[in-house]
Amino acid sequence: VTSRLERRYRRLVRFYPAEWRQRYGEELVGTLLDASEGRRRRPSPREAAALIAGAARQRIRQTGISAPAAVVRDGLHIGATLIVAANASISIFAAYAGSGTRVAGMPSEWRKAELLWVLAFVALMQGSRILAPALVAVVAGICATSLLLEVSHVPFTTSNGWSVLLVATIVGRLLVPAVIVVWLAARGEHPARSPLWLLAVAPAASVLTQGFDAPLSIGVTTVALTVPLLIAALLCAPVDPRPAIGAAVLVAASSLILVAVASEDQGQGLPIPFTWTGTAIVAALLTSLAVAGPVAAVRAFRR
Amino acid sequence: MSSMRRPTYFILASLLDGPLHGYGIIKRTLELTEGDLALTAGTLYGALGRLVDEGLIAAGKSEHVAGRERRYYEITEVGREAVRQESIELSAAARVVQQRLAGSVVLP
Repeated sequence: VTSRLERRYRRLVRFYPAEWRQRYGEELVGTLLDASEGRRRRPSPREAAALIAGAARQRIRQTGISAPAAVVRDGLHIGATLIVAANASISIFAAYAGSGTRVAGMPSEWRKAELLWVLAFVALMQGSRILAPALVAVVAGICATSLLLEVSHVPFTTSNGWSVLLVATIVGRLLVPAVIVVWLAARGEHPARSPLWLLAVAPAASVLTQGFDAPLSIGVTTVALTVPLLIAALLCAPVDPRPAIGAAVLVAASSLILVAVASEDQGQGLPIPFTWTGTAIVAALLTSLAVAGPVAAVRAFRR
Repeated sequence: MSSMRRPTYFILASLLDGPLHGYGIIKRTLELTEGDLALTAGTLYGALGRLVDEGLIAAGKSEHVAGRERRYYEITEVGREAVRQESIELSAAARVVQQRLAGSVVLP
């Protein structure tokens, strides 16, 4: 007769990949029951946490990633995919929902590129080797060119037409994802992404709307949406470092824009996310993510 | 310095005396560390799978006791050498500190 404790252990063991369960599942359940020595009615929090962490590690191992550097590269790919997803969402918003809304840093040509951004995102999610890098490079090139041709759309533009924000937007939103995706594809690394990543699209888009002429309510929503997720990515780094590395790429791109806005503020009393205080908080978060991810990646492959 | 995690080191150390099943390894590591290292089954099986893949241990015979599967694991020559090398490195690192502590003057 299966005991309640055994059923609870079996539920936890289901987190492991099916192939691993076939090999070790029954034995693991047996050891868990032996170790409980008939004194327990439910798994201890420590044992449950170890099983969940162990299952996550097995899932990383099953992706075929076999070295810390490969984990970091996969995290970079996640970051680039999130920036492309954010650009797709923002361009859709600008094209349809935001008619009449001035979206700083986004010239009219970019608003017409929403279909290309969506296609680039779909190709990235499917792990397309040729189409994904080609689409990301083309759409980033179109948007960068249109930004340079319509510099008057960028706020804080100086008299000679250049601004820190213009450079930050081109580098953070366009160059970073394009370089990562093209570089990884050239190495033959073009992983498909789980549909679960779609859940991260809204927070990613909200992070990258920093620097737009968005109302304060959007800023508050951004904080409410993204801060818990970024902290979760940081806390989960020991189990799976890739979300932390992906989040670091995203926050780095956003930070460039925050720094640009803060540096050109000239005492206009901007909301906290755009001030030096906000920038310092984001920088601290970015540093934590950028350090935690690779450190956890190295630890994951220690014997 | 040390390149092996503590649980891995003691799992390999526990198998030096002969093959053990999962729960046997948990009990043996607890004895070897005088109660200091209580392995969870989740941690143990993560390490066992990895060590089998790396050839440091091998899965041996399995048996059914009270309806539960038990598989015995044994250390391979590669595993024996890895844990021996690790113990030498740990001893050398410990010696550095102990020699300095023995020769140091305690300030009032």
